[in-house]
Amino acid sequence: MVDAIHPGVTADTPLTAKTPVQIEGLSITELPFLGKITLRGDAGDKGFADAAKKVLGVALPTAPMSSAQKGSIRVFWKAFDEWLIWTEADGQTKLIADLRAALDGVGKAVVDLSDYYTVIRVSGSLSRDLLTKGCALDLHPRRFTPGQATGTGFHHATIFITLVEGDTFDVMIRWSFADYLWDYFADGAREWSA
Amino acid sequence: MSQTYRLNGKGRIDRSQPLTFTYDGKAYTGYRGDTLASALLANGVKLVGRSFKYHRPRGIMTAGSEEPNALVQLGEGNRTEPNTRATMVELFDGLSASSQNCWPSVKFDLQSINQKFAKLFPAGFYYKTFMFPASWWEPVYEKIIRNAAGLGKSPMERDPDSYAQKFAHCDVLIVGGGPAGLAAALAAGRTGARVILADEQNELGGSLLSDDAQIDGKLALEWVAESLAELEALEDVTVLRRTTVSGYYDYNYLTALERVTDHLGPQDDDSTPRQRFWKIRAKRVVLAQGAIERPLVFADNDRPGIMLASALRTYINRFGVLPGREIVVFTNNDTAYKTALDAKAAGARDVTVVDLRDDPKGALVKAAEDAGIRVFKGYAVVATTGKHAVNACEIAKLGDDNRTIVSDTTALPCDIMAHSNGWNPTVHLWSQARGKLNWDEAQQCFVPGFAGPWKPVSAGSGNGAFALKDCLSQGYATGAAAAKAAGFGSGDVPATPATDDIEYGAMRMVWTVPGKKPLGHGKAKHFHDHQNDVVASDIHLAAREGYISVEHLKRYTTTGMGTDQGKTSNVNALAIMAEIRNAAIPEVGTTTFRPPYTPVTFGAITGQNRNELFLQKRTTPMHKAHLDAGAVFEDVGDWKRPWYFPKGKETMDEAVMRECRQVRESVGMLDASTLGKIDIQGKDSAEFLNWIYTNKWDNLKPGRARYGLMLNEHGMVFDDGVTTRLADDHFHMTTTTGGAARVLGWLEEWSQTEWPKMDVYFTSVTEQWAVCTITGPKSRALLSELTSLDLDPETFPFMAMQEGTVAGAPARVYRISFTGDLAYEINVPARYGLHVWNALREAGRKHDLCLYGTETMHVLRAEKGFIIVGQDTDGTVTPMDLGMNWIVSKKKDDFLGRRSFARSDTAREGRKQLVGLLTQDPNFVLPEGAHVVEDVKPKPPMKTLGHVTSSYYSPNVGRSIALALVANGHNRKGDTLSVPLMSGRVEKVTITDTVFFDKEGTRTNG
Repeated sequence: MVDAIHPGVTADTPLTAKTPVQIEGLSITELPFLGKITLRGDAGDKGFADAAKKVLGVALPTAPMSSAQKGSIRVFWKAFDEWLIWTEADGQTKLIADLRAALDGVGKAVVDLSDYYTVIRVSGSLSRDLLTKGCALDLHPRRFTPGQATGTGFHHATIFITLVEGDTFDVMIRWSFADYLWDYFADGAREWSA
Repeated sequence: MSQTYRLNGKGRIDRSQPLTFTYDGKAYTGYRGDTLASALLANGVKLVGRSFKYHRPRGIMTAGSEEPNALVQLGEGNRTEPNTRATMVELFDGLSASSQNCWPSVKFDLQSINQKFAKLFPAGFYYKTFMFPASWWEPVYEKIIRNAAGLGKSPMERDPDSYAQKFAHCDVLIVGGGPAGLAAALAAGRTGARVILADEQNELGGSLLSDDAQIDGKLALEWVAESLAELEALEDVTVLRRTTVSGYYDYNYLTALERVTDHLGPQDDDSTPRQRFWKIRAKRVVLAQGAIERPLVFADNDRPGIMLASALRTYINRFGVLPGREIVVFTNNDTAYKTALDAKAAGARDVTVVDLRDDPKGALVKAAEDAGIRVFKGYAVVATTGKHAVNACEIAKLGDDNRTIVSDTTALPCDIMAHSNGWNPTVHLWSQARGKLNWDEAQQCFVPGFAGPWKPVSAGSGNGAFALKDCLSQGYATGAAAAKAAGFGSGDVPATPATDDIEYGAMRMVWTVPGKKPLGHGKAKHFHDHQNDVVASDIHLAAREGYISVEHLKRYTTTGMGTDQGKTSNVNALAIMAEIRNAAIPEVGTTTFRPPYTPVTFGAITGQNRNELFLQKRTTPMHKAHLDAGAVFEDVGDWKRPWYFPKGKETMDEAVMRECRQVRESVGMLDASTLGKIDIQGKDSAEFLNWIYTNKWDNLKPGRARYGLMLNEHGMVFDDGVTTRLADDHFHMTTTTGGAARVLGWLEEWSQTEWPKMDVYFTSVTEQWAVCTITGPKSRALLSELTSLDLDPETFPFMAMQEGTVAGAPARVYRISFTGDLAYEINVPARYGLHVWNALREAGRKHDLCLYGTETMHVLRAEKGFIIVGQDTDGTVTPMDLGMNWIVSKKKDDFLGRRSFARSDTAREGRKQLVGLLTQDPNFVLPEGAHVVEDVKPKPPMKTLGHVTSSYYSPNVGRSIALALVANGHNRKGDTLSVPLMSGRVEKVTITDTVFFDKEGTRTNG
């Protein structure tokens, strides 16, 4: 696609060439160009936590596997001193600048990872059946609730998965593994495609 | 002949769905709901194969997954499957199967001559016969044995079917869907717990499918249907049919094989997986697998038509097949009388019971006699006859010692013989889960004892509770308890409905039923292991030769091996050994139960992980352009990196030579995206780098880059790369492609364990950036066409970084070089990688741009003597060994690895050091790995001074060049040494500097 910020420049995702899977009970699509930022810092440092909250509009989650959301910004706990932030496509540039400004002089790292990964959205009544073909995590609605998120595996790929709501999951995957994961999903969906 | 042995109106088969199938090329018919075994028996086919060692005629012995005998080759061509149990193959239209282990046919098998020479094939004969000479084992003996033994044939073509894997979690997993399992599922499922109920049969009910038992005054199968309906209405209960739980592993991790389409036959398209391999993590496990009937070990107990009593009953009641007219039931217990009664009721012409017990008292004995069934009490079957199927047995009065016969023999004509030696609870999974077994003296069987660490519970027949009432009550109790333990329900146990159980009389144990001649004399064979052709006399032989331990017994005789893992044979073998040793059975013990419970196909274990999905191919954002440019790829880790870009019919050498020349003449472009990249932020970043690298970093100015070597604690080089200071508190580190993850882990380890107070954070950014490296004298001219940056060397010198745009995309451009020529490494967010690559390629046309791959990269760096960590180093090389003393800071107090420089071996003179090598013949390229020696001897061993680490033909130098690690190499410059090769050639080499090209280093400025 032609880039919104840089006219005349073509931007790709690792899944540009793929056709979304849309069958009864299952939809597999890419959420291209989501802004993705890693934020590191000391959650116990009030200066850090308050400044981050001011920019993000929501307090940094501190419980393992939890997340917080404000508008298009989703903040995922990744470790006691690490958060993953998703924002709307191309929203990362401003957000990174705002975070850096707000956290000036505070121990932190703010890193743009928007292109390191892409996100695949898997939704529909069969989404759990598809994901459990390769993900050993317990995705039962009682055990994995909306907003919960974690890093885990899908066969050879390392994924980061969150339940958006109901049967809708977002799966973050490295650029270089996106093709593998997509093909695995598409192959796995064949049994319901007839 | 068409289903002559089918019973009218009986069985759970669907007569509205007739099916045709072939066995050994002959067509037959059966019905939906049949197994191959029941359909064969309905058609009067008793002989289905030949035995493993003696090639004796064999038939169908059981009606379940324990079948040791009726192993058939199923299907043909790419779908053929060996050793499938005819008792577990559901019939489908067009099924084709054949007998195994016989040639030319099952009725006339040449190797049945082995029977005549049985005395030559005692237990352990492999070890005795194939001893000498040892060198013959693999080339000669193994081939003979494999050809003669073995069972079916593996498919030689690709499997056309697809397979799937499934990860599942549950609160309660229940294995077995008989009365106990169903009751457990009801009790657990009603609490709202997540329950998986897995059963290996096509329908649930277990033993009730073959029985006329009553529950609550109704036929038990009605209770089964009601229970199933209730379970299937529960949202969190999953009922898996045709699913065998095959393994029980640590922490309640169990595997199961679901046969999804096997019962439908080959599918036209492979979109539905043929089988699904379940990997189940359960909070609690209830084992309700039932029991397996134990055979009697009597003379020639292996003829086709001789089967377990419960199997005959199953064929009659569940499949509507009475496979004979004249039936002898040989038993030591009451349960076999049910078979006799059902056979009689089904219309058998003659039913006779031969009961080992002198005075059996159970209610069923009386019922049999009332039904007009002859009962011989205190008698034993001492011989059987019949070539391809049993046609008679001989019986005689058994002595009180259980070892002699005390009457003349009487012949009983029969075409089916059923036998029973009691029951063995199915304790395989219990034992796999490290549960102990207790010997139940009253019931003469092993029952679950002390549970393993993951505390499964056992219910019903599998727990030694054979009465239906006990199956139900234990099922309810264990299901409720398991659910409660998993956090569901109060543990209240549903009331057990009324049942119509009958009291059974005691058994008489005769572990080896005597024949007409003493054991091991004459031709009669007492089989206890039908699959491996092991007989009671083999156990005696093993004992005589000292193999009295149960594990030795197994290896020596092969008892309990094979695809059935001794389900029908193990306890008999132990009991016979116990008698020989005059020991109690539990003293002899059991062998280890190992997964899988029944065979699992490799296809199912593999699942989708095949073809393109077998291994991920990691590609860069520019991969499509590389494909279009005809790149040949090299595997670097999981990455596919362009190796070289052949033009027309160029060979690899020709392409690489051209690329090497063209880069130095004009400009070349390399995809360097795979290089490891780590973002480092925090005010202590520079101090941290001072510790990690050998050189100084606090004095590096923002916008400037520096090369660094990382050492491990032993002072040995383990990674290198260029790191750039983006801001006072912000660095961008690069690592080798293969070392990225290791380096990140190294940084984290030191940060977390030694310097947790430092304000420094590391984030991998490897794939955030796509990297187009352009290098060569025209690279500045090329880049200037596409960038906003001022490329003047004064403002943009070597080892500097600037941010700007390239081809419209935001970029960080690093002026660093791995070729020694003017170079720019253009980093853009990955989304723009392909765009920028294509733009550079397009603009490069008039600059004679050439694409180059990793091979040319290697040659060009070697021309300059630049090392590749892992190729020119091997974990034993210090910076000084590399001649890189200049990079080891003398101003720093300490850094990682420094202390080890003082070790005597690290500090000594004469270590292996990196040097250049020039061959006497300038066109000869040394093989990498070749040894460098001073004194050549006619053949190894000879004292080696080191080895060649890198070697190429360099078109730019105009000759071959090599790098080598050579002892005391730095002091040997100018010396001539030798490189003896495998071919016999000895190449003279001169030790040189490591820089072969542009020694003055002027080309970096273009």
